[in-house]
Amino acid sequence: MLLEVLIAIIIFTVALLGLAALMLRVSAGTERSRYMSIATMLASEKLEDLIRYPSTDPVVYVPPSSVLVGGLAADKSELISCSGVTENVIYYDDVRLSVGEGVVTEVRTATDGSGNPCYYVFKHTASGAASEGSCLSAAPAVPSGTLVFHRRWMIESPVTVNTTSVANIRRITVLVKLPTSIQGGDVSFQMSALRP
Amino acid sequence: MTKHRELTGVNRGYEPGASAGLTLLELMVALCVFLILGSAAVMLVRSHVALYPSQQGQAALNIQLRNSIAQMQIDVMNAGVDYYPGVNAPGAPIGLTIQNQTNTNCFNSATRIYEASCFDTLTILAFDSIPPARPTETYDITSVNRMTLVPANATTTTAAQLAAAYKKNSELLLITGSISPDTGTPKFMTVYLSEDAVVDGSTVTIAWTPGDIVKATNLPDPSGTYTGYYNKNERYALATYPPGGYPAMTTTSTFDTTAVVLKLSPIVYWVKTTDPHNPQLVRTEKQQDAVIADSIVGFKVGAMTWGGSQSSAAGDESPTYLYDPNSYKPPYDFSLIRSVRISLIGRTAINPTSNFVNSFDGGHYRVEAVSAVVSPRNLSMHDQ
Repeated sequence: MLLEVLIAIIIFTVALLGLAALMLRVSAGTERSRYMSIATMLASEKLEDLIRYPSTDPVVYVPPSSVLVGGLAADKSELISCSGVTENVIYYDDVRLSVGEGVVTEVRTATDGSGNPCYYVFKHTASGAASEGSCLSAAPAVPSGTLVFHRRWMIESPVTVNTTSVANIRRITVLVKLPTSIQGGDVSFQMSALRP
Repeated sequence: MTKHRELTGVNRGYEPGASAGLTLLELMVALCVFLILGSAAVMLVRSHVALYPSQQGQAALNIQLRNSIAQMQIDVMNAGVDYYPGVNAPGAPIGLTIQNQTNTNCFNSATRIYEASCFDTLTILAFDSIPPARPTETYDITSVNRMTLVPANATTTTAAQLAAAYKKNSELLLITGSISPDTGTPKFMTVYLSEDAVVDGSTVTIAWTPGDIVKATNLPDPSGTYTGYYNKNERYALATYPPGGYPAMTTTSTFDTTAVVLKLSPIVYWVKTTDPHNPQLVRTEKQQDAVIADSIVGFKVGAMTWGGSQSSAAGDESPTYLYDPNSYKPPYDFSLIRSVRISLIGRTAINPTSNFVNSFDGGHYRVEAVSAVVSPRNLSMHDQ
C-alpha cells in the first residue's frame, strides 16, 4: 500500500511539475510574442525610414562598383559618395524603449551630416507632451527595464528576380534582434522591401 | 498449498505477523507530502488565475494597438492617392495634415482623466473617385460665394456626373494651376457646399456660405510676413493649427481657369473623449465614425519635413520628427511633410483593487506604447 501511495504521489508530482512547466512556457511564449510584435514594428519602421530618402541620398545609395552595401551578419559602415556628397553611412542602429516616470521614451540612432552617430530621444509624456530632442553625440544612459533592440540592414542593387537582374530597383533588408535572451527563445525578425 | 501461496503471494497479507496496511507514521508522511504538493499546486493555480486576466488584458491591448497602427499605416501610405485622376494637375506633395496639440497640462493625475487636448488629430487627404473640374473664369472666393465649373476632361466626364457627386456639405479642394514662388508648390483652399450643385448645359455651379473664406489676421509667424486665408468652417483637411487654424504659406483665395477642383473624402484619426474614463481612437471616413481602439491615453503624430527648419548634408531636411507646427519652415506648411511617426499609448481596464501601479501615470492598469514611422508614398515619390 505504501508503495502504491508513493507511486500515486510521484505521478501527481510529475503532473504538477508538467503543469507548472506548461504555465511557464505559456508566460514565456506570451512575452516572446510581445517582443516579436515590437521587432516587427521596428523592422517596418526602419524600412519606411529608408524608403523616405531620395534615391540619390548616400544613405540608400549603392555605388556602381558594388551590388550590396551594409550587412546583416555584422555591424557595418561605409564611406558612400553620391551627387557630390560623401558620407560615412552606418548600416545599424539601436532602438531603446522604456516606460517609466511618466514618460514613454524611445531612443533611435542615426547619423548627422558628417556620418557621426546621433542619438535622438523621443519622449511622450502622460501630460500630453511629445518631442524629439536634437542630436546627442553620446548615447544617453539606459534606465533599468529598458528594452534594447539592435537593427542591421543591407541594400542590394540591382535586384535579381528569377535569375533576371533588374536595374534601378533596390532591395532593402532589415534584421531586428533583441540581444538579451528571454525565456521563450530568441527574438529575431527580418523583413525586406523594394524601392526605386 | 503452503508452497503455492508463498510462490504466488496470494493472501500474504493475511499471514500472521504480516502488515495489515499503512502504519500511522507512513500515513502521516504521505499526508504531509500530499499537503505540501497540494499547497504548492493551489498557490500556483491561484497566482496564475490572478495573472491570467492581466495577461489577457495586455494581449488584447497589444492586438488593438497593432491593429490601429496597421490601419493607420495603410491609410497614411495611400495619403493623396487619386490626386492625379487623369489630368495634368500640379505636382504638389499633398497627402495629409496634422493638428498637433501643445497643451501639456491635459492629464488630471487625481482622476486619471485625459482631456481631448492630450491628443493630436491626423487627417489623410483622400479623394473621391469623381474626376476633377476646373473653374470657367478667375474667382476670388472671398468676394463671391458661387463658382461655375467644367469637367477637366469633358470626354470622360459630364457636367451631370459632376453635379451628382457635388452634394450639399461636400468638401471640395481647390488647387492653383501655377506654382507659388515662395513655397515651390501650388496653393490651396477648401469650400463646403451649402447646396447641391446645379447643372447648366456643360457647366456646373457650386455655392458656399458667404464669408466662409476669410483672410488671416493673426498669423502665427513671428516675423508677420506670411499672409494666408482660411476656411472658418474647416474642421480637418487644411486645418493644421487648432482650433480651426490655417497653413500660412499654402493657402490662397484666387483660382483661375488652370486651377483644379477635387472632391475630398478625407479620413480622420482622432480621440473621442465623450466618456472621460475611456478615450477612444476613432477613424472617421465619409462622416462615419468607427472606434478602432479603446482606452487610449496617448496619440501624437510627428512629421519629418522636407526643407525643414534643420538641415543635413544629405538634403534640406529636418533630421528629427517635429511635434510643433511652428517648427516647420515655413510654419504650418503641411506640403513639407515627407514622413510621419505615429505614437500610440493604450491602457488595460482599470482595476482599483489591484496592487499593481504602472510607472507611466501611476494608474492601476498596465500601459503599452507602440510607434510606427510611415512614409506617404504620394509625397516621398515626389522627391525621388
